[in-house]
Amino acid sequence: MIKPGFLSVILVNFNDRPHLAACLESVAATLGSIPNEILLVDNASTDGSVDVVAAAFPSVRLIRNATNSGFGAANNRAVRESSGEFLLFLNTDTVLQSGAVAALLEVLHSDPNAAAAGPLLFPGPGRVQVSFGNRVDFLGQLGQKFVLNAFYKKTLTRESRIREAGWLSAACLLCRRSAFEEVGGFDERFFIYFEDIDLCRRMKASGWRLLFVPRARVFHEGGATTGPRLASSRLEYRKSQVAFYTKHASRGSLRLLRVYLHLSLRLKKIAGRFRGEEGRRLWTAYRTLLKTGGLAR
Amino acid sequence: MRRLKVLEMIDRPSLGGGQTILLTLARNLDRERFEVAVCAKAGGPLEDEVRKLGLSFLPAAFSKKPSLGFGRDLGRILSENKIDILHTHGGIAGLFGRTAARKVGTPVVVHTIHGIHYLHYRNPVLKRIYIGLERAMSRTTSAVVCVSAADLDQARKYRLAPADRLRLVRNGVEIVDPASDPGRDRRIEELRLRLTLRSPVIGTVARLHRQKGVGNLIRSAEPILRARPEATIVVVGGGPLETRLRKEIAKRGLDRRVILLGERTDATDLLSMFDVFVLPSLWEGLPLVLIEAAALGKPIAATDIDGSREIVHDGETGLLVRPNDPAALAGAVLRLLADADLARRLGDRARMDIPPAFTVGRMVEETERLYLDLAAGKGL
Repeated sequence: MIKPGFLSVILVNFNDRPHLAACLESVAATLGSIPNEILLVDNASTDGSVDVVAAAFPSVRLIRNATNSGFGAANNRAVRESSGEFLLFLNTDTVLQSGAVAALLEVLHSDPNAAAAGPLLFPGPGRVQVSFGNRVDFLGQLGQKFVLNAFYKKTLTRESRIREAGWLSAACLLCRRSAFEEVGGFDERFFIYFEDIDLCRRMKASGWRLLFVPRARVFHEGGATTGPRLASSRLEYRKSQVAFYTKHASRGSLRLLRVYLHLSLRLKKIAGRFRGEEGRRLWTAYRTLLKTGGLAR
Repeated sequence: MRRLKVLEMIDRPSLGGGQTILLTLARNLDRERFEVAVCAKAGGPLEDEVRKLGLSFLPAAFSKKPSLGFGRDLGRILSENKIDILHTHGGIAGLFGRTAARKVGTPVVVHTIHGIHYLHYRNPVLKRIYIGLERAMSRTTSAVVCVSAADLDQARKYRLAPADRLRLVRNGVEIVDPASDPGRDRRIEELRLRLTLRSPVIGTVARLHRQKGVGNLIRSAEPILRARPEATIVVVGGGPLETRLRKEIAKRGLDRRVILLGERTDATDLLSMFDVFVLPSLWEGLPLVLIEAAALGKPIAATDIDGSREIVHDGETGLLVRPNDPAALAGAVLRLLADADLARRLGDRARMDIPPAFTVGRMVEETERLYLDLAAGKGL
């Protein structure tokens, strides 16, 4: 049964033993008097991280997936088993700063039309990750990457104004359960990447507001579970990107993205990035992606 | 007597009205006398349901564009499975399925028109073409089935098939007795908490297509919300107009007041949450959702069109208003919200009168009799 005012913190773990403890400790430390439950879905980790959690954090509810079902699917599963009116999606390589969750909750409490609120993510002192945006199409993404992000990185450190966004990152995202369920949760066809932007897009389309709250601050290392397998995570990123464009963007945008990917793949091939057995495997995977285009999982 | 091999065919594997009727037939046809298989495009909920029933599902690559290879595939499906009776549902399956059946000489061909949609097309040329196609196809069809008396009249008027081949088999709806589903109340209570919709909830379940008139429901939202500011209007269903309707909602400043929930698997539970059920359609065959809403005792506000008129009687089992008239629709909804006695009386009468008139038993029996008669005529 859903409990009003209750917060469900949802984490998805995949072989992230190094960060888990710090993250879970920060959750326990910052929640204070907020009534809560913590759910951790383990996507078939092999590094013993589940044992660490079971031993050191007995209050965390463990959900063990037999296989790695992907980020969105794991989160959806946890939501089904949770009972909070509010859902906090949190990556395992984050550390909540004091008052962060309270600040996000306050925003959702004061604006009944806000579906979700996201904090300022920072990877180190004085640095900022841009974890929100407005447009997601080819030119919009290009503009954000080369122009806006540089600007945000300069200005956001000093800012405290709440701003409305087109999407927020799910590295740390407080969501109103009714909004999440209304739009049907994460689209499980995205394995990893873009599932958060897709969710936000659907909430936006349903008339909900999305708010970026820089007052709430969360340390986020980024790429902790994907970093060790950089080449294959890049491929996953591109798969999800093409899938996302197929689902949401205009035909022109999708075409531009494909042209861009074709060119950059050719250049990388010339630069010798696809040598060896692993390289050849990646190359075929990219080629198939460009031929079939994404959502056919 | 040997079992007759029946192939039920439809184009899309989603769960619309035609698919629901097809599934009901597949589930209930007498297995001693008929061996039923289903043919549709692969990869949708229909396929899962058919497999759950333990029937064979024969996938075919339906699309709107005709192709020679596809015609051959269908022909092969019909001849390899030695189909005695092909029953096509809806225009696209009717066109390709019957063409293939003619080629391979399938003995009995039945076609159900689930709503004569092309009579309502705005393009008069297209309309003539479809009428012509229907007439041409009916020449090699053993029987053409209409789902409502009004459709039968229209089919006669436009001579869509020779008069002796036109039949009426009214749709039947499987009504689940709430007592047999003990988890239902809790699920609905839970759903209320999960979605936190402000009540009263005025809702519809409809594909977002011009046919269903959902745009008119959105246009009726302003007068409804002016009188009942705490109300929410909910639409369950997806379709080609989704983007356009969302834009219209935003343009009218109705965000969070009119909610498009998209396609949902829990449509029946959502329907149970509605305080008023609306069906703003511009035309219908025989809308199953009205029968489902009636079974739940919902007060109904629908448009006064052929199929709906056959189910709901104005002032007795619901309110009927002129189609394409948002103000009238709003008026009917507000009347039901304002007059609780009236709403209860109409809802109760609907629950008692409507479902018994559209039973699955009758639909299946009439279909079986039709199959057997036609088969006997062919000496099968």
